[in-house]
Amino acid sequence: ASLVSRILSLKEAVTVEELQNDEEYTDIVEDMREECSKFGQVNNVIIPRPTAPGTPAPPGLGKVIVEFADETGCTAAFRVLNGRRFGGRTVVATYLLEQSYMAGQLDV
Amino acid sequence: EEPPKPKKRRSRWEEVPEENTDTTLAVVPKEITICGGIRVYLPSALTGGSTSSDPKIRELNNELNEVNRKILNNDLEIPPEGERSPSPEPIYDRNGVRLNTREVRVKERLMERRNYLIEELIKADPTYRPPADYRPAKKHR
Repeated sequence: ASLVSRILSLKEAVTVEELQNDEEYTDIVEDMREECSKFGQVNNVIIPRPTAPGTPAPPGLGKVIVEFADETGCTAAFRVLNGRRFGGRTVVATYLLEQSYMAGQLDV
Repeated sequence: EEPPKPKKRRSRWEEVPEENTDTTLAVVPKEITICGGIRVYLPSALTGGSTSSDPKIRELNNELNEVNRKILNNDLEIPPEGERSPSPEPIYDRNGVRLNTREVRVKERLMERRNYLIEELIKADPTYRPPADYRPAKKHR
């Protein structure tokens, strides 16, 4: 069964090293928000950042989570962004279940 | 002559042709069978070249688009001083103008890469139509 949701999860798009740099992080968030807004209304872009060494990694580290206002925008974005390159890497898109997202379970 | 407002930063997203972002685009088959069981390949210009299902062809198309963009925008990505490999001996023309400047060399390399990618696409995709300005590289040794 193909699972559809209004929450898009992009893997392989960012590296932990990039996220450590404040300027790069801001740029990446903007690139994501701008591109995703072409497909529908974006409510939120979440890109977990690495925490201090020795502390557990935040849920969803390495992913880009995009919350759309509705499924239509999310599926349109999925179709175009899956397999497309971002910063030279090929992005893998999946849907994140609404309840997982709401519970902050971004690793699933 | 610089415009007063800062130029828009380039997005990290790979550029895709407009028609590929149009999700209403009809799906055109890559090949059709006409009467008598003859299989006909449709030109990739019609089926949408970079949407090819073959990942190798898609990869080649993507890189070709990227190289084309760099050539058009003069985006040569010359690394800063100190991170560059040594330059070859300069070559000058009759008037003492240097021929092999860094920009010229980088651009030549991009053009060679473009030619190579087009050649690979011709080999990999029977429906691929090379751009009008493409000339096969002269094979010499």
